[in-house]
Amino acid sequence: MAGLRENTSGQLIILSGFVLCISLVTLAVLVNQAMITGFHSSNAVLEFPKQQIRDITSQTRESCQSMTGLALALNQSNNQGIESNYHSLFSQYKQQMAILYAGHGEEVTLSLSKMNLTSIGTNASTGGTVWVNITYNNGMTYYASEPEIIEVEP
Amino acid sequence: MDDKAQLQTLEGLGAALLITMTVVIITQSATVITPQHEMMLDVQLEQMAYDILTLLDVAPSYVMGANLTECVAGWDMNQAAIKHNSLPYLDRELSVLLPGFLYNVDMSYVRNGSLVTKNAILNGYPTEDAVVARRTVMLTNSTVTKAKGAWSIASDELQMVEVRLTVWQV
Amino acid sequence: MDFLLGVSLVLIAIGFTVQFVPGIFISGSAGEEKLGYAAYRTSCILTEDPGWWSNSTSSGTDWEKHTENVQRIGLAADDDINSRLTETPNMLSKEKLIKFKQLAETEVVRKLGLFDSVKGTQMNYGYNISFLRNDQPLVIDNYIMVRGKPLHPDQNMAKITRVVLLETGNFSVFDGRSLTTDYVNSSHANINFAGPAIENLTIQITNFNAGSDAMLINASINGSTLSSSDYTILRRQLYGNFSSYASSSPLLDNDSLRIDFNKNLFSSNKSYQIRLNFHNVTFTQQGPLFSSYEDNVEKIYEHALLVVEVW
Repeated sequence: MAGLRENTSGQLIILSGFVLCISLVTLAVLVNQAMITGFHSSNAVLEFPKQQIRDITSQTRESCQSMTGLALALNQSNNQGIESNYHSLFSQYKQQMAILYAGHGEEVTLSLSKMNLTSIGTNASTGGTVWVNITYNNGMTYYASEPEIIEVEP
Repeated sequence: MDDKAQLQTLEGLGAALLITMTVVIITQSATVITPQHEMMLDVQLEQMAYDILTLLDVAPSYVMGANLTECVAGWDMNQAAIKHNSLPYLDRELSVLLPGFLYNVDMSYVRNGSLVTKNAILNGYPTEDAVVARRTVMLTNSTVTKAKGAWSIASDELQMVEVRLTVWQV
Repeated sequence: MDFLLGVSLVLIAIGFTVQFVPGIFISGSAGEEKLGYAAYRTSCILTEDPGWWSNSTSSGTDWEKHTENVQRIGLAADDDINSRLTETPNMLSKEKLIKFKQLAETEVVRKLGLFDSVKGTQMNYGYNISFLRNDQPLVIDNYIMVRGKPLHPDQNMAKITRVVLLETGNFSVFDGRSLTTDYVNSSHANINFAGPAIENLTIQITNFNAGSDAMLINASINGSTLSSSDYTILRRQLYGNFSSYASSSPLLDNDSLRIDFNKNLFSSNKSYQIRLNFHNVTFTQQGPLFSSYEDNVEKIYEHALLVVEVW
């Protein structure tokens, strides 16, 4: 005890300095980590493309609906069947959606896998059904709805 | 001989108290301005922008006046300038829904296979913490004719338009 | 040696604080995050989901009619109860709102997940869910649209605000070109209504076949002209907002008129005929078989803010 107290070379002071340093650094790291986890987790809310996916599906449902009416109207003016008119409208739709979303680095593919529109032209009271495959990819999140079943009426 | 040691113990206690207090104060004041709070504000503003586009799009036109599709269909397709926007109807509805915020509206659409983007409402240049919301609408020959817009769409064509709303606060 | 003792005391004290005062590190990260998530999740499920109920035999999104079997509380209006999703997010149904206001507290806390489990025991969050218009809570059918407790000042909380359309009542929407007139004058619009009325009657008319200096002069019920205090008239010009319409001011083709009649005018159990007397507006469909108020009833939606606060 007396030997330590009489030691004047300052080794103890340096040692305790180190100890203090290390403990303070640990504390700082702890606090930072707490902040970073908070940052990452609320960032996740912004990063998940919920709104984009919803926009694509709801727009597809809406568009398929109005394309039915359009295809029926075209069927009466040009001599093509409702289904061929529908195919040509849908291919315009999928091309334009792909280019619009590619504009901000997102890949959207839409395809018409099946359709049942035979009753549309004949009886106005019954509707038809179309099956659309939707995929979305922004590099982080991949979403697929295969198929999205949409009931349509003119 | 050991008189001094008591004082030093007290000193140590005092120092301990000081450091603990500092740590407590720092962490507590830091929570007020931690990044996550700022992120939460971003989430809030972005959510609001999307909410507004959604409800303008889904609302039937008798609710709020023209809905988003009708507004876009009636666009004269002129590039907007500051204080001279080319979409006054949408501007009026947005100013009601976004009191105290500044916003720009751009339109993107595909013409001859390439992407065209034009300003429709320009209220200024967004700051760094601006948020962006997008929504697509579909135009056809009949919607454009009804709204007396300037789009040229043949009867067997459709035009997808992306409405981009940029919102920020000053 | 004294110095070593001091340093170890400091470290022990810091360790103690970190361990036993959860407010320092926990609230800075996980706790507050949880609140933020709870608020965000609650706002999303209320505005974007129509809700769900089910029992052993059937199910649907119309939980407001089966409040004893609610699985999920959502307020978005839905016209197809089997769809599980709604095509109209952010448009909230009046009936669901009122049932939401009436649900038992434990039910709401459990179904919206407004609690946290700490070592197996349920700790309820404090919450406040309000529907505001001009910073005032909305009142629908005498219910003040607020749920939860008032917020303590300077409490640590998470808050999220959503913009929504709220169904506040019904009105009848007519296209001016299909309204019926009578043989007396083609600028009369006649609408039948079967009393008694349980709420004010609101009639909205768009798309007039209007000539020059067209206008609405007055309204009458069963032949007797009403005084202007019995009804209010709002007018919206193309793409504008509704504002008050001064009697006999000019009317254009694209204008919309919204006329609100006091329900006391239709208190008896008999049929009423409302006649709107226009000037230089031509209605072509001639009655009898007049337009009926009930045939064109739609829901009125008004925009409002949904504020969710959790602490």
